Amino acid sequence: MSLSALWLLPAAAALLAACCGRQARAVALGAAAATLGMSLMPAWAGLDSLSRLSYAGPAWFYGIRYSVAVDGLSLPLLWLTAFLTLIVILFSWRGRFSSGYWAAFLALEAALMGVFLMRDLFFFYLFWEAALIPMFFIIGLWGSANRRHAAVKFFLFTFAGSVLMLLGFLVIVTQHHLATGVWTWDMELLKSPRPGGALGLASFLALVVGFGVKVPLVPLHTWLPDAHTEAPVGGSVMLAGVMLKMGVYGFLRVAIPFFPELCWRLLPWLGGVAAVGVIYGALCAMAQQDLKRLVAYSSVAHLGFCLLGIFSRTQEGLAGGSLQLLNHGLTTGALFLLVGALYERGHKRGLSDFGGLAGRAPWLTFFFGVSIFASIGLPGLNGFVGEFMSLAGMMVRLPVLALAGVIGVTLAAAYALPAFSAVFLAEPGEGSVSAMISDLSALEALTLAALVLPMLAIGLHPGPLLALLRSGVGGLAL
Amino acid sequence: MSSFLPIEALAPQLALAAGVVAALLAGMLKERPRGLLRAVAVSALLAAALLAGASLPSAHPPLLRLDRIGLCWQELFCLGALPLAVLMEEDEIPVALLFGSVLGMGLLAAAGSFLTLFLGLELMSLPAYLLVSRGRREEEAREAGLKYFFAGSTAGALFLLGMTLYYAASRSLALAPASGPLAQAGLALMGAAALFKIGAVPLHFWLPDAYEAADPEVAGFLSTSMKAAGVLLLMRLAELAPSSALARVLPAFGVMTMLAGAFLALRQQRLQRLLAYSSISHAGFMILGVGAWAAQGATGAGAAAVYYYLIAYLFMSNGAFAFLKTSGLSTRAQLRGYAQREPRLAALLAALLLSLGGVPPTAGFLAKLLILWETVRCGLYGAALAGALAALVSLGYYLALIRDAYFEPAAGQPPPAALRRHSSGERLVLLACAIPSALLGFFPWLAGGLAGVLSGL
Repeated sequence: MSLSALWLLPAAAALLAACCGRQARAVALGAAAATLGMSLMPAWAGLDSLSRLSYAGPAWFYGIRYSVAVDGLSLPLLWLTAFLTLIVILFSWRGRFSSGYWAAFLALEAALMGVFLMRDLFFFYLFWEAALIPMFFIIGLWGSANRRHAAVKFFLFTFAGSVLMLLGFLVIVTQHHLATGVWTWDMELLKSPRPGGALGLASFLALVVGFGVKVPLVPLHTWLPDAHTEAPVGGSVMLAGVMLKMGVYGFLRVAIPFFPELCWRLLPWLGGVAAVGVIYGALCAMAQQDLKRLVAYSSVAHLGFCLLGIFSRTQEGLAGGSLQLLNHGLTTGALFLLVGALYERGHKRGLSDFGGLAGRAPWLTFFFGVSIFASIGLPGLNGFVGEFMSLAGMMVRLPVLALAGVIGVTLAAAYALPAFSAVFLAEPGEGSVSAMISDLSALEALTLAALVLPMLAIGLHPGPLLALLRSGVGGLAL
Repeated sequence: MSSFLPIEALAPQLALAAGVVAALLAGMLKERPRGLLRAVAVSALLAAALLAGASLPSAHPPLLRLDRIGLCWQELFCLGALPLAVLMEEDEIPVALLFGSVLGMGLLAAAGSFLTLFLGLELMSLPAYLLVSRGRREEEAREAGLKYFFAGSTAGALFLLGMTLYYAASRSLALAPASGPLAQAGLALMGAAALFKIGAVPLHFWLPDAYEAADPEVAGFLSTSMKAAGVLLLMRLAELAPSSALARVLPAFGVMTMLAGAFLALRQQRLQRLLAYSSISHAGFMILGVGAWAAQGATGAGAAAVYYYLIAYLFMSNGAFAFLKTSGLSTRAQLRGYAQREPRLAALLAALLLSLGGVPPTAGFLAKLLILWETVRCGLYGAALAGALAALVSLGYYLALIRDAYFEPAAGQPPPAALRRHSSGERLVLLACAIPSALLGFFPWLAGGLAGVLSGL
């Protein structure tokens, strides 16, 4: 089986779904399930033989060449993408959506799979940007009240970052050609020689901004709360679950391997920005009255943890940071689905609009509780492993930043637990819509169970996944 | 064999001239079969394109010289005129005018001396003034046509003056390098004429009016073939003296043009005017590309980047104007809720707009990438940054149009022109423009092939 099928299949299915009207839903389900199955096949065949799956086409133009590969870093992200797409499709199953909705999610999946598969900077960029188009339509067409503004803001903001990143790529490729006389866009070959001096610094910063908008790093994060809040449930899940990961993946795949020394020299700055993100995101989340906005801001904080671990460049930090990517995809995905379920029933999202749901909707409460605890890093659930390892990694390098991270963990409990208690445990107040909230349907419960099980599994037995991730990112350690 | 007027070098132009005669003859028929003129128009343009494609580079001094760039551009002119040939009204006069204009462009591309260059320039411009003046909204069209005529004549006069100065320096009308202050001044004046034709800021003031008052399909022709001719003229001048002052200021002109066009387009409410300003912004990218090509000695693959940009823009711009013609919409307010009414046309529009905005994987993305790449290659990092900024700003208004069409609810009744049935020709043109616009970015090797053709591999 060729790796290209992982993006070709959803892309073809998206075209099919766009054309076939009523059956689009079934096409989407089938394609998403098949893609997930295919993405799991490399694991079946044995993880030692991942490198044998890679494929590189002929060089086309100035060294641009189609090439795909997987390793211990991209394979779990492919799983996450395929898994969350399937979950989103199942969760929207009963919604009355036009065929465009299903096509858009399949197109999004194709683009995201492409980002994690491509090993040529040109194609990497192509898919990176192409992912914006379906998400733009998902937010703008099926989002909530302020969706139009949020969709355009999201597109322009991330496009601005990516164009800078593209200029960075162009400088790297051109300088490589000047130094070696060879045109190439290949990620491996471009690592040396790389531009030095002011030009090197400028192109590194361009990459940091490009990836940083996506992560998001704190001064560049302002698109996120709007986009996450206004997007439909499925859109929020894919945004937070996968698209934010693209930024961190970019750091791991491009920025750090291309500029290891610069990254090391700027560690106090980069790590500082990540730590600010952890604290700032948590403080913002504490101030939110809207449940969805709260989850959105918590993403800013959680991605900060990932970056703290990764920038530390220790074995623990790298593995923990990349594990935290997957964890965040699972927990935030579950939280967005649950908030979506609440909104669908009560048409409200405010913390004070609910109360006492624990008695009315036990399953909803259970899943929400597990996800919230996973998100704040309770031992035994997945979040703990990732955050602990990330902070342990940073502790070796810059203890101050690790300390900031620890404060961030405490703050996470300080915004998540009151929110949980306000919605599920407190007495319903005036104007509460709790009476309208029914428990999860069987299908919803099933999809959430599918999300919660891996949380438990990773929390209790992270070894195999960590080993896989370490094989992908361990080489970046100092 | 060398004759004074070599037939084989002028074959595409002869095909077009035959087309003029055929169109005028067909106009004299009492009962003309429907679609006859359209068939004549399309087949003559295709024949000219094929003949240009089949020609080999050769020199025919003193007047003509066929090189690879010229031949490639001749094909471009013919292809850029095809949508107009399909969409225009069934009348012999505009068909003849269109052929005349394309013929002039062909002459410009095949020019081996300043004399032919000037002849081509005027021959391509005169019919264009008339095409604009014949717009459906008569008052406005006549006024804009006049304005276009005066601006164009000024450009022609500038060119003549520059030519004279250049002649004084080089003592020959041949397109050959010359040095000295007179030659520099002559080049600068002729360059100004070319920038006038392309619509570079600050020589762009005539352009929005002309594009807005003309019929949309005519505006499409002006923004593609006509701009391509201006770009070719600029390249011929830069070729003569790659290190001249003219060549060195081109990137600055490009940056100014792309930024001014993008910012001016942001506030436009009338669609055709918006596209006119956006065409100014795109022209900035082309000029920047020519500047980068000149900075690398006016040889090599840099020309391929400009050529690719023109090809991509040929599809995008002709498609966008064809959409205006097909849909009958004229303001942004009328665009609201369009996707509910016409989902298919709206999807084509979205593809065209994303391509104009340069979002991967569209053709517009690869075009912008190639230009920025050439800019980075010659070390113009500031210009590359400005290009990125212009791309971002222009994406702002393209996205706003998609937002109008897709996300906003319909406001009021659609205009009467929008309720008309679309002809099959209109649908064909839209499809033929939108599909390449959307997907060419997936095929970077096409651009590689172009580079090979242009540098004679």
